[in-house]
Amino acid sequence: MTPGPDDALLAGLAAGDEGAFAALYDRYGAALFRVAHALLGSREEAEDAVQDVFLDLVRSRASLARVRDLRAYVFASLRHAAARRRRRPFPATADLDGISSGGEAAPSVDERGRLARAMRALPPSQREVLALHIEGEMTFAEIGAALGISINTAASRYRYALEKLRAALEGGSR
Amino acid sequence: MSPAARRDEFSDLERILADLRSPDPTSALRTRILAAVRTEMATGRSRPAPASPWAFAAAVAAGILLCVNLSMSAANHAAPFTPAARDGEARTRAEERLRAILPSLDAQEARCRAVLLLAAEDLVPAPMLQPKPLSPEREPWESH
Repeated sequence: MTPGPDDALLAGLAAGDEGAFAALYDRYGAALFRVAHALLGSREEAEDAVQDVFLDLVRSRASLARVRDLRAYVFASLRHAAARRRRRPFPATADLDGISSGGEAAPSVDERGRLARAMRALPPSQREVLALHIEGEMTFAEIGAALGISINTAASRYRYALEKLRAALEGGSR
Repeated sequence: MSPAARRDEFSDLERILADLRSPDPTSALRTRILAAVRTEMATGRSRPAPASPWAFAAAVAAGILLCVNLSMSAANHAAPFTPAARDGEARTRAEERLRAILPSLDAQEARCRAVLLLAAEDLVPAPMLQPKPLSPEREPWESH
């Protein structure tokens, strides 16, 4: 069996090597933060959730040797950390100011507001898949591995989420 | 609808969502998290690795083997005939007494009954439970 790209990193994490935790942050930290921000709607909550992921890794480092897919593992851990924090309601005014919108298809302020409201209204299972695909840049196979669902389920949840968001955008433009 | 058509259907929306990406973390977050990791490693203890399913299966198998072993050991030490029954002298005495009481018993029958009598000597006495006599009164549902 050929070693995976994260095998050396996993070995370092399991051994409690601080440099391995720094490398893990450099590799996945930004994506973890963006996904957490999309799930929780607040910069402070997202930062705390990412920190929870790292502390959970430190505490469970003895069992990290058995992890096969580090990327799926850390995003699954983030999902649990976000779920613990999500017991508090999603903020009514999500942190939209920090969201960048400088591309060609930049939506108007009105569209951004409608999209944000529609995303808040999504069921958590669909919001998770949307966040992992858009913010985490994960494939449906990787999302399936992280959430413990099939590729088809991940893809269909994503599609349902997009249909609801599009309906929200079109509903506002009429 | 083909997968390609499905992709096109949402391509505009996906572009908008990609443009609406969440913010990047501040550089302070890296410092904060690594400091928290350092503190946790210095003060906290690593959780022990959870027992694997194989360890559980091995424990169950060991338990079953122990039970089988103990059962076989107990069975081997519990002879079907007690020492008294195997004792030829005692059996002969019992046989003679039986034949004295019942002269009509033939020799083989007397030996057989003597063995059974001696084997029953060491049995634990069980209480005789008297069955409850049937009530002469009829139950309501028996009236029809």
